[in-house]
This record gives sequence, C-alpha cells and structure tokens, in this order.
Amino acid sequence: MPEQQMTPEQVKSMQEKIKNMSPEELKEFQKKQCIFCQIISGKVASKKIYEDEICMAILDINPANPGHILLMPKEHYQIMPMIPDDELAHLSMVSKALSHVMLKALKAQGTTIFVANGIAAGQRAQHFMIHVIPRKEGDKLPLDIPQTELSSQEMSAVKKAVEGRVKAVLKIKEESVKVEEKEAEEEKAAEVKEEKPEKVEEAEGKPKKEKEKYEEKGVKEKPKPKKKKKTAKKKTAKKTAKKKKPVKKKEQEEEGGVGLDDIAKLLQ
Amino acid sequence: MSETCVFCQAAKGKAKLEKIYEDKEIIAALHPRPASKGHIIVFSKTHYNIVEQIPDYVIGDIFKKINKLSVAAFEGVKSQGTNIIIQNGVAAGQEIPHICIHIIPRNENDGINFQWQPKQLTEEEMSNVELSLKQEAENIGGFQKEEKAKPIKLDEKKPEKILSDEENYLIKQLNRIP
Repeated sequence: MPEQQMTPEQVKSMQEKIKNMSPEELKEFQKKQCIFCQIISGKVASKKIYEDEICMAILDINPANPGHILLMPKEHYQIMPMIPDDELAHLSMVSKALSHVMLKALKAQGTTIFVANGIAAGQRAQHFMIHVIPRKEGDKLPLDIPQTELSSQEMSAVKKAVEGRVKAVLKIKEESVKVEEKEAEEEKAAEVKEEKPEKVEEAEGKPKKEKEKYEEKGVKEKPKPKKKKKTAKKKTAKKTAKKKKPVKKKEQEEEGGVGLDDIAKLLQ
Repeated sequence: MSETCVFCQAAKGKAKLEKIYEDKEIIAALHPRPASKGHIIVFSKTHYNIVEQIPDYVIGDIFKKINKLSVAAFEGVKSQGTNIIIQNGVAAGQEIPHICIHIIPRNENDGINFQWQPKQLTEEEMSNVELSLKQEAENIGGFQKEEKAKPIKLDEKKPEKILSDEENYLIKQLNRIP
C-alpha cells in the first residue's frame, strides 16, 4: 500500500465518506486502494509467473521461502466466500499446477498451500490470494499446525454447532434454487405481458438471473421506461444476492467491517 | 495402501471420526486434536498422496465444498476468520500420506501463529527464481475440468468375431479337404 500522510481531520472525513458509500461505490473505492488490483492492471510492476483471464500469479516480494507465489483472482474479492464457485475451482486448479511447477523448477521437497480469510487469520492484504510456498525439510517455517486436546463434551458441542451450520449452508442453497425456479415461472408469465423488444433480447441468449429479476420487478411494479429500469436492475440484483446467500452475505458484512477499519488504518 | 491409510479406512467407515459432512467424493470431519475449536479436516475418499495426483475436476470440486465448509465452521464456532492449509509433502509437515485439507477457524490472540518472517533475497536470487518458475509455468493450462467418459472399446470385440468367423470358415474348409 502506498504510504500517505493524512491529518486526523482528513482521516475522519475519509471515514465519513466511506461510511456513506453505496456497496458499488465501496467496491470501486476498495479496488482503487488495493495494491494488488493495481498490480493486476499493470500499474504497479511485479514479477509475474502466470496469468490467464481469471487469475494471476506473482512472486511475493516478502517471501517465506524463495519462490513463494501469490495466486489471486483478477476480480477484487476480499475473502474466499465472496468468490464464485467457478472462479474458485479454477484457482484451485492453477494452485495445484503452480505447486507442481515448484516441485519441478525449484526442486522443492513439498509445498504449502495457504489461505487466510480475515485479519484474525493473518490476512494482510484486502485482496484474496492463495499462497503457494515451496518447502524444504528443516526450513523452520511456522506453518506446522498445532494440536490441542479438547474434552469430549467440548468436541460434541463443537460438532453440533458446526454440523448445524453445514446443514444450514446446504439447505439455504436448495431453497435458493427453488426461489429461482419460482421466479423463472413468474417471469415467464410476466413475459407474455411484456413488450416485444425485451423478448427479443431474451431470445438472443441473455437469460441472466439479474435480467429475469428486473423484468419481473418491472412488471410487478408497473412497466417503467428503460432508463429507470436500470436502477431497478441494480436493486434487484442486490436482492438476489441477499436471497441466495444470506450466510455468505453475513460474513461479507462482518469482514467488510474489518476491511473499512483496515483501510482507515492504512490511510493513517 | 488403503489397508494402512487412516483416511482410506475412515472412508470405509472403519475409523472413528467425528464426521460433519460426507458425499460420494469427500469426507469432512473434526480434527481429533484440533488447532482451534471447529478445526475441520477434509479428505477425498479416493487415495491421493499429494495434491499433484488429484485430477483437476476433483480439486475444483473439493475447493467449492471447502469454501462452504469454511463458512459453516466460521459461523458454527463464531470465529473471526479462517485459515485453509494444505500440507503437501513431508517437508511441508504432511503426516499422513493421504492428502487432507485443514480448515482452521481463527480468532485474534488465539495463540496460533502462522506468520512467517520474510526472507531477504538479493535481486539476482529473486530473478533466478522468477526465471525458472516462469519457464516451467508456461506449461500450465489445458485443465481437465470434467471427468472424461471412459473410452468405449468398440473395436475389441469385432476383430474377435471376425477371427472366430474366419476360424470357423477355415475349420470348415479344413474339414472339407478330406
């Protein structure tokens, strides 16, 4: 992060400004502040190892071991739960490939693949990344996983709590599918009433959920001229996200809170 | 391998584990000696020693589930963050030769420290590493995103038939000669 000197007043006004931002503006703001987004866009120099349309891998300038790679999605996500499944799957495949590259090119004896979600977990940057670290025996990195003893009562309490959340996470997923189906039906019914140009677009193969949503809402609330619909689209899109992943959203909000503080700290 | 491997035994239901999730591909269970409350280990039912052996489509699938499970662990124990760690190889601290992924819920001042000291490399060392990694990384790509359908061996039976027909024919011919 670029060091900036700010007076306390400036910091305060900045914090106020951040608080009043809409989620879209906030995302833009975070992107601008994010050194890794600047690396990805080429504004800041880096030692690039690999790049494709989804992700980019660079050498860490503060490596745990020589050859330490940071693999990050090009899109700005703070933490793993924000990443869409397909992108995450792609990242996992690339990190596997990078690990293989290390074994071959550096004759590493092993690799550690490390992810930190949240400052409490040691996350330093506001941009999600996967660390792939080449390992040699006796390199004494503090990456051994400590072990503790839990009583059987504690264990079963933890099990109950986590198991419940696992089910909830999966159940919510099922529900959201149902919601989507319902909306699709409603949308079909609505489409009949909808004017033709919309239909043509639909036929051109853009049956995006967001679009379905906004059409649906547009119809429900009375048809509006095109310009206004765009805002409706944004709003409904947000709604979709909330409906689909309430669990994730919650975490995002919490993490988002941490993020703001961190931005403020960095600015100080 | 599967007879001596703890995780393979667990996949068959022969080892005691506090399972929290299971499907046809993976098992997630609480670590019996956790780094923190809610420490989950995730492993595939198929035996893979190291990450490099896992097919692309399987590791993609595993990560999608890891993501969900980490959210569940995060919320289940109300932690402030999570670490996801794969120890790939003995040098990385891998203890069981069956790859397993750790999800560790984290809290501030929880006594766990994974923060490494950055190593100081000279410009030359850095660019040497960069060069050799870059060269090797050129081969990355062509991910196998879906399981390939097993090739149907069409031409295996046919020649047999032809042969047997021929044989029959030849045998007939042979039988005719006398």
